[in-house]
Amino acid sequence: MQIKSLNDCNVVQMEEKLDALTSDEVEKALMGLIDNGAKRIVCVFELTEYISSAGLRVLLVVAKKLKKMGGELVLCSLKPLVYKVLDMAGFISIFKIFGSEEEALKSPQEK
Amino acid sequence: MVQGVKISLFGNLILFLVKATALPFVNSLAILSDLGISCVALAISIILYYSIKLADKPADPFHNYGYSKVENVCEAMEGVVLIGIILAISVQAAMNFIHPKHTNMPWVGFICSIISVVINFIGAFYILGLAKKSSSPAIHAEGLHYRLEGFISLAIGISFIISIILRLNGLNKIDAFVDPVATLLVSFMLIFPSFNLARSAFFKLLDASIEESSKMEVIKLLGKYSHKYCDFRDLKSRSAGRKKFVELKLILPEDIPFKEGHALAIALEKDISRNISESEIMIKVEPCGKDCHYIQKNQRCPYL
Repeated sequence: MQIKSLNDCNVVQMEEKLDALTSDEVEKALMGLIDNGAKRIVCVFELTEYISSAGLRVLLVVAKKLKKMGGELVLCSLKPLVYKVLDMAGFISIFKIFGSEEEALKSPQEK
Repeated sequence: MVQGVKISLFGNLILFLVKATALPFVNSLAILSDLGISCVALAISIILYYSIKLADKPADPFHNYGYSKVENVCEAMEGVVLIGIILAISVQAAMNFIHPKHTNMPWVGFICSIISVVINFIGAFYILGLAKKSSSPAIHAEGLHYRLEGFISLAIGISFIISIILRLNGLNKIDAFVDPVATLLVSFMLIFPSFNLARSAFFKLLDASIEESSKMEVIKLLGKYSHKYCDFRDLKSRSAGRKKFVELKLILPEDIPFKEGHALAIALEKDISRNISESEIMIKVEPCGKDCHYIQKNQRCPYL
């Protein structure tokens, strides 16, 4: 999983699959960023082909923790199938979702 | 559901009688292996009949979570016994390759197989329909077993057709090998479904979490209610027979009135159980530590 810092944002390139096997590792990495003071995390789903309930759980838990610390979780570059899963789970209304990493980085943080 | 088991039991009894009647006339290893499978199916149907009744018993001081796990025990038994039969008939088929022998009256074998195919496929259609309505893993396993037996009987029926054709063409030497080939084909068709059945049942006995579609329902609802709670933790699930158990901890603002917090937990429990059939949901409520940035910045808690 690639992580980089850009303009006070932590940009995280998500794995090809976000499921029960990979979700623990992803959760640890994201929580680690929050513990180190991250206020804005942009998750890039360009390479992600599949997301399961375990992956959605991680997104929800991380979003909650970031909100608690006054930060926000933003998603971008979702493939159609992944977008469909998030839509079916009702997560489209919960998360800010952008078409590309650029758009996500340009958008202002919610206060 | 008991009706489904009775139909299955009756069907397995008919199949057993048809094959047991045909066997002395045909003297076929393939029919013998099919009869063995029907014996197992009949025994399992009888056990399943009593298991379903036991699974429906309410929880008591000796089994605080009820008896629904007995259905997984049935599933596991079916898988293990089928694996045993596969091994036994494969060994016998291998020996018949070394000492090949002819079957008698292949047309009797063919008729027996066709009757079995009809009963199996009609039975499978009905039982799988019932399993869908009742969410019973044991009834579902029965339905799959019926369908699989249908394909096995079809394969055996085809082997008898081949045997008849070979005899009509004077190819008696080749005909002697048709029966053991059909038997090995039966073993091959059974091996993966049997292992999968046993494996799935044992996983459930080891408290594997519920299936993905049910987990997704829980996450969907946690998302729907996300504006009402601070956080959630320790989301766990397991299944026992038809029953599914889900538990989690909901973190609420420390200052939320007890009644309100309780009402929220109950509302979420009810919503989850409405979306997952035969489920028991337990939500424990915990107070937040007042360690969020809203408190630090003297802002109003968004969850109150």
